[in-house]
Amino acid sequence: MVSTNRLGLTILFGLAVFVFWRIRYPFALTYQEQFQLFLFDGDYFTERIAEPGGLARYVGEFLVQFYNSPALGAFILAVLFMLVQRLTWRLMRSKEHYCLSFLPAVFLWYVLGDESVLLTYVVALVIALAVCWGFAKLFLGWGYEHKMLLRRLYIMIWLIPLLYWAIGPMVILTAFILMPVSVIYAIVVMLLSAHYLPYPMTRVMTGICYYRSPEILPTMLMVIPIITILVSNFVRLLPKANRIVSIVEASVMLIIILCIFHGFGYDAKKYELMEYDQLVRIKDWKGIIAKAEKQTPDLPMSVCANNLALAMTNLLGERAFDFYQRGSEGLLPPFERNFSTIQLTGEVYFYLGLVNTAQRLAFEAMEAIPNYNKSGRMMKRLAETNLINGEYDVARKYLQMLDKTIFYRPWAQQALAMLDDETLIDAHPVYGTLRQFRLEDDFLFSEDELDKICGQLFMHNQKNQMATQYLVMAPLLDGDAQRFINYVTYVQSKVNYNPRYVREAIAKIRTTR
Amino acid sequence: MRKLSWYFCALVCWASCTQRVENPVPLDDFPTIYPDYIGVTIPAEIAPLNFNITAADIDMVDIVVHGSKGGDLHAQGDFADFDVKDWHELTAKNKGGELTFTVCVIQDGQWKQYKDFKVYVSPYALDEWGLTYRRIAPGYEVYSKMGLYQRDLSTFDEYAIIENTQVPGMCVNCHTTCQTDPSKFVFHVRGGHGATMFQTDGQREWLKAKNDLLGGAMVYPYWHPSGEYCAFSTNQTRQGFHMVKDERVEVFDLSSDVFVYHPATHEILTDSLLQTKDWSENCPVFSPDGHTLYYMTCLQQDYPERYKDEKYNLCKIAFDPETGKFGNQVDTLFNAVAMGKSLTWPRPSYDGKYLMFTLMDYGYFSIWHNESDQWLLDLQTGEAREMKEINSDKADSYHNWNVNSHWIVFTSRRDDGLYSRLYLACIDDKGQLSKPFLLPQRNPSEYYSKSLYSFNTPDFTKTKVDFDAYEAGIEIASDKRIDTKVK
Repeated sequence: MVSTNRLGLTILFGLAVFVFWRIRYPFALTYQEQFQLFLFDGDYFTERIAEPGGLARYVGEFLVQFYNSPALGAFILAVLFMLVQRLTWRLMRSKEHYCLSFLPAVFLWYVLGDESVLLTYVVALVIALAVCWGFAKLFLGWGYEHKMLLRRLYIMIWLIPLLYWAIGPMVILTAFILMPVSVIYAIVVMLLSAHYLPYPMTRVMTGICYYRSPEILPTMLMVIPIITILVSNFVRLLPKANRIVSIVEASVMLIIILCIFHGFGYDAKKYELMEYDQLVRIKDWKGIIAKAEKQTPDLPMSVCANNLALAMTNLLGERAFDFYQRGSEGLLPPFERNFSTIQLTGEVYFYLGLVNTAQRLAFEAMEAIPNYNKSGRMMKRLAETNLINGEYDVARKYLQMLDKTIFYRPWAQQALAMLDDETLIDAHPVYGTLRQFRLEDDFLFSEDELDKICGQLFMHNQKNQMATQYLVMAPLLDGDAQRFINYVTYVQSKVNYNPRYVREAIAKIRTTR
Repeated sequence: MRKLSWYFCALVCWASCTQRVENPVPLDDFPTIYPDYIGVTIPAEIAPLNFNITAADIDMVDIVVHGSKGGDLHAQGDFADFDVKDWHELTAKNKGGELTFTVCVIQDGQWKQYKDFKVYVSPYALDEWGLTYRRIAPGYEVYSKMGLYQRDLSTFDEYAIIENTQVPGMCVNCHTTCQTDPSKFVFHVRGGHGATMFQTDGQREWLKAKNDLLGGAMVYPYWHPSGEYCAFSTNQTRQGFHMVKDERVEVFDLSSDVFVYHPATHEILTDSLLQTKDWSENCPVFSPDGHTLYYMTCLQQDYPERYKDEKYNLCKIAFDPETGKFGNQVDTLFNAVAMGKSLTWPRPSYDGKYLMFTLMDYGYFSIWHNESDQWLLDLQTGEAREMKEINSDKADSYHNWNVNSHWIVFTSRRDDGLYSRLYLACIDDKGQLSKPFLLPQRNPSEYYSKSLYSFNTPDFTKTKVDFDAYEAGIEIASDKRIDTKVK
């Protein structure tokens, strides 16, 4: 009965994790997925396995590709979290205080609020705990005679380096739980390996592939193994669990979980941007506007996403000032060397018809991924821009890579069929249109002259509604009346464009004069 | 006995896996192979010329190679995959001769035999261990994983010299050896821990990335043949990005000057003729006798507006290695501007006969110019000609000579128009070039189609570069740097 209750509690916990990711933060999962391109390919596996932690990384990246479907992603996370909890419970030397076995998993939940923590870390933790559990059972049967101790030692001599190579520095957790003295051996192995690896010592010691950015030392990642060790080894020192103790433990756990839900670990602004980014990715323009209507976006990238959505629905001139604005930078944010901002800005350039610039930003975004991964989303965009530009050999290269994935494969196969077929591409609703929008007179891109570039786009093709809207609204958002009047006069001499805020601005400027 | 049984089993397995070519239907065409090795000239020391058949629906390929001076080689499978040792035995035996390739394939359940093709084994030795190059994605401003690598030319083995994973945020470029001798080695580190690294006979020195008196960083190194000096330019480089298809990146220098560095004293030797106000001097290289410094010059333009007017000529100035003094006269050696063109990457052959350069419509960063082609200047006659034998309709760019000046390596984007790959070609005593061949790989089609890297700044290396990347990483991160002095 007690055991059923315990299992029930674990399942409830798993359900909470599932609901959290599936309902509250599904966009965080798709956000994670775009930082990798998992290939079903021998070289992909050997590249990963060539470094310590490579097996955990391979498994982690294999699982993350399923984040493309948030339900699957949430399920995977729920299973992993339950495994962490159950394995911790199995390793606890006292079979009291079941609630405390949730501590490492709960902290893990908190830690995953940092979007740079990779699933590799979670997989490494699960493998480390599973190995501990397996070998602890084995060692327990052996007793403590001299011969058996030697046998244990012999196993540890082999196990530590192998496990280190498979899961990285998380091996220290296994070493400590199985044979505390072997931690020294594990550290020596890690130090030695650093001499032969193309990474700085600190990176090797803290994990090459646990955290996306190599320049940051994630201290919280070191806390979880310590908590696991404390829970597994020292819970027996606590007083036996009576009803009051159990209530206290459960309450602590609840408070920690509530803290997570209330955003201590999950930066609301950051996650809001992720949601905007996801909505842009799936071209849910109405969804973006609806979200902005609930809470007006104020960050540069969320303003940019909302303006893009307004332009894509031809509403920029009608509704731009219904929302908080950040000048013309809210239309086309300046270049920054980080994946998220580059790729969102690249989306704007793509729909404007600046295919070369969109291609550059897609390339830059992929290169900006701190752990040197490639990105499925960006690879797809690169294939598209090369397809539009008629660079079929380059497009083929990217499409053949995407063809080796689960989620991008159907699209890649459709696109492969379009290669070298000008008629098919010209007839494509997006690619064909963008081909017509592309500029034909060359000049060098300048961020300082974006309105002029929009002007060139408009003059080249007056059906380019997005360029029309950006050209007219850019000076208006900057509060530059003269420039606005010049542009709107020219635009209105060519096309019928007179939305609400344009009308109001013209009237106000005339009244003022 | 056990060993014999093992060999017997292996033989049976091999025999059962190998199909006999029976009654092949003869075809009138050469096979379409990747890389295109038909009619190329190779050094005897090169790694096997493995290739893939590009025709569709091929179930198996069978290749028999016959040497004109004796020896045969056989391979069968999904692609032509030759045994390295057997290949070298065959090429060594046929040095100065030719190899005839008989290619049969199973297509639609039927053996078919293509027309035989030949590969010529040059009488000229390679005299090099391998190649060094930088591998980096052909990107714009941001870079992911990249590094300096070396490749054993007799096998398929590649080794990292240093990768940017060693120090986060680091970029490495412009590695150069002294006439292919890596005991004198230089490269630059860019990023927060910038430096210029000099390694001489195993001793490393890290110079400050910038010297304020020069007004910039040390760029584009080239060793004096004595190893006593190293020429550099210092450039205020900027990038621009094109708006139209078929064009991507433009690189131009707001200014640039040329100088010579003396590693023994950490002194920088300058001359007013190499640091003029209105002209950009760039890419200096020493003649093989060490008494001339070649470089290129361009009348500075108003950038970025007039980037298409950035056009370089080839010039030279005398250099006295005894005193470290420059001559007092600059001569124009090749007037590209008069042709409406721009010249870049001058590289004299080590035998003093030729100077190879790249010619393009404008600018000097030829990798981004489809029209860029290789040219050869005869230093005895002063005549230059386009190296049509090796050029393509895509960017053919950065090149270097091997130590006996009979082999060149250069980058080309002829495969797909974006990813630069390495090609080698032979130049004979009369200055005639052979058809270039792509750097061999174990499975070329798979390797090159999967690779997301460009091969940059290739050079030959006499021996494997001995470089301790781990210690170098610590030294880079330490930011301990040596100051240079302007003499």
